[in-house]
Formats: sequence, structure tokens, C-alpha cells
Amino acid sequence: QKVKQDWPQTVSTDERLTPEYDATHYNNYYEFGVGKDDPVRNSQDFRPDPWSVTVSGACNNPGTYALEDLLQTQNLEERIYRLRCVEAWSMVIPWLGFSLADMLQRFEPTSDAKYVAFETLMDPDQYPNQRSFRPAIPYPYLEGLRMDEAMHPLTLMAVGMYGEVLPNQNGAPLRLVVPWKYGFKSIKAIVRIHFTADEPPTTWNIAAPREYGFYANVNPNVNHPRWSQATERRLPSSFLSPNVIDTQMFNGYAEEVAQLYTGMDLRRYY
Amino acid sequence: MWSTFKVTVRPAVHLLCGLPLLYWCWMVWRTINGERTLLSTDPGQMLADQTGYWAFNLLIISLLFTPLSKWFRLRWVGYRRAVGLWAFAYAVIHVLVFYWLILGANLSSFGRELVQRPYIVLGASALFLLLLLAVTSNQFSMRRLKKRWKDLHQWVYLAAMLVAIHALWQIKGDWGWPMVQAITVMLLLGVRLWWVLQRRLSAAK
Repeated sequence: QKVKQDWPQTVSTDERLTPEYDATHYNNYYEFGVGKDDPVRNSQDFRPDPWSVTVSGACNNPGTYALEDLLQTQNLEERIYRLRCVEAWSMVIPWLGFSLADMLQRFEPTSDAKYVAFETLMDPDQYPNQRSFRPAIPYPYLEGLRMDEAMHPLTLMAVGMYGEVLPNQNGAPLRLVVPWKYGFKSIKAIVRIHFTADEPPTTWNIAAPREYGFYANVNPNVNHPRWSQATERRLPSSFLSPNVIDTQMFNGYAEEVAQLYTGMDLRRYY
Repeated sequence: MWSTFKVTVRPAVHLLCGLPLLYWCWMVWRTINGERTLLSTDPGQMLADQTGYWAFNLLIISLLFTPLSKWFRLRWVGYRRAVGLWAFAYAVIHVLVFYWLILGANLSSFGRELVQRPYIVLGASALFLLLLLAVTSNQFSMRRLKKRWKDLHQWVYLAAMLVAIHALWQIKGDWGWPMVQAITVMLLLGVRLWWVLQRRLSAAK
């Protein structure tokens, strides 16, 4: 349903938006299946409501929060971000959400909180690939950010896109969007937030450690072991114009985020 | 009676092999004419996957002819060449799709991919082998090469193995069809090795 509300647009781009149809019918969400059209097909009966998020670890306000309570105090903003998938395709999507930092501050992370870990729902009844005899990746899906990345103003907690409530196949009801990192960092259907002193395990890093690191910053100079990251196909692509464009450092957000990684060898911390 | 059978079967074999290509051309045509969602948001990926998939399927089918003829005493080895040539045709289209739609027709990135990506090196080597086999698949070459023709065409096994690794190497989370294809190739190869072994053993007696 349409969200009957006006919101400020805080981040924008002059690039053409990906049509809503493409952004909602071409997804990687392995819980619903590994095909790009599996998420939209298999997510129609998913139940994003009621929803709660468990907060734990190094913070003063741990506990289980109902989604409505988490959203009430947040002001929605629209942010148009580039989304660069590690598979070398990309989209431009208008998200609705709020700064992750604003949400995390409510939980009052302590000085021990060096990282924040996220977890997707584990529910084989609702996720076909979780009940498959041969799941594509280990579940539940795990992701994490360093605390300074999580608190960065660009890091978004999204609850909607294209002016509407987040569709199930795009990670309803609550998903992360970290625009300078490959898409798999932007974990969907979050049920748990955990503050920790140590770098948390992350799903793709567990599945293929040589190919997917903890940082996963978009970087045209560091190729995936099996394919080049120098260019990307901006979707939708067509026959007459395949739309192959150069990939930008930090997905074009270098000015805002490069300082988070000064002195780090990005080849080693891929 | 056999010859009339052959006359009707040959076009059928070509039609069957060409059917996937016809289907995907039809989808491309409809997409260009406005049904934009038919080939997904990323048609390049879909067509590259599909043409590669069919090239490999037909290559496997061409390897099935000999054992099936032996076991079931069928005389259809004559169609093997047609299927093999179709496999080669799909492989060529596969490369064209990759070059045009995935790399954006950029020659320098094509060159880069060709030397840097191990699975593309494998795929390219397999295509080179298939090219050799395709140009020597005619009667003229058979007569000219005599015994060496058979030796040359044994390379199809190497090509099939290269294609199998090429396909397996690209898997992300989805171990499905490429795995079935690779196992089939291994089985077909195993059958041949078994025959060779049997021949050696009976010769030694």
C-alpha cells in the first residue's frame, strides 16, 4: 500500500531510476530460491507482520522490540542510491527508511561495541530454500558492519521503496542498505541486531571466504576471483544498449566513505 | 525402408536441435517489440546461460550416440554430426552473446577476460577444439585424414570435460544442472575407458 505521507528526499542522483517492476522482479534472496525470479514468486505468502527485532550484546537497552515501536520515533526519508551487486549488475533505487545510526543510538551501544551483527529470519515454513534438502547457503543469513560503518550517515535502514512499503521479495519489513558495499551486505528481513567486540561471521564469507570478504566494498580495482568488477551492467539492460558502465570506487560514494578505510589494504580486506 | 526413414528423420533432428534457438529468437523478437519482461531484467545473462546450457546439452547428446547404438543396436550414428555441429553453433552464439550483451561489445575487455578468467580460458579452449572438429566433420576431411580423423575427433572428450569445468566454475549458490551435466560427461567417459580397457584385456589374452 502507498505510504500516505510526505518525506524529505535526503540523497538523490541524476541517474535514471530503475523501473519498479525490474527492482521487484529481479532479486537475489536465496531463502526464497536461487533464481532471480524465485523471490517474487515464492514470497507472496510471507508474513512481515507482526514482526519483532531482538537486540542483544554490548548495549544498555537490549530486548525484543516490536517493529512498530522501532519505527514510531523514526522520520522516514527517501534516498536514491545506486545498488551494485557483486555479480556485476546494478540498479538505482529510491529507498524509504531512516539512518541506521538513529536506530542504533536508541539501544545505547557501549564502548565494547566495535561491530554490529544482523541476522535474517530463520523460518523454513516461509522460506523454501531453508527447508531444501540442499540449501544454497548456510542459514540463517548473517551480516555485519564495523561500528563506524554502521553509524555512517549513508547507512540506511529501509522499510520501503518507490514510495511504498517494502515488498516481501525486497526484504520486508526491515532491511539494511549500505550503498557503497556489494548488495549482499544489505541484509533483508532482519530479526536480530547484536553488538559485539569481535568481527562477526558473515554468510557469504563462510560460504566462500576467498571470494567474499567481511568488508565487500565496491571496488573496480579488486576483481572477484572469477569475474571482473571493473564494469557493471546497469539494469534493465537491452539488446541494442547492453548498458555496460564503469564501476566507481565505493560505488560512487568515495567522497563520503573513503576516510573509513584510510590505511587499510583494500586488496586484503576485500 | 531405411532410406525413407532417414529422409524424414534428418530434418527432424535439425528441427529438434534448432528448437531452443528458435524459441529464444522468438523471445528476443517479442522483447524487442515491447514485451520487455520476457527475458528478465538482465537478458544478456539469461541468453548467455541458455545458449551455453544448450551447447553443452547437445554436446552430451552427441556423445550418447555411440554407446546407445552399441547397447540398443540402433543405426543412428549418422545423425551425430548434425548434433555436434549444432552444439558448436550454440557455443558460437554463446560467445557472441557474452561479447555483445555482457561485455558491451568492448574488444579490450573481451581480450582481458580471455586471458584473466580461468573458466573463460577453459571455455575458449573448448570452443577452439569444437571448431577444429566442426571444420573436419565433412566427408572430404574424413577421407583425407583417414585413421587420423578418429584420433582427432577423440578430442571431443577433452572438449566436453573443459566445458563441464567451465560450467561448474561459474556456480554461485546453485548446484543444479551443471552438476548433472558434468556427471553425465564423466559416466560417458567412463564407458569409453571401460571399452578401451576391455579391448586391451582381450588383446592380451
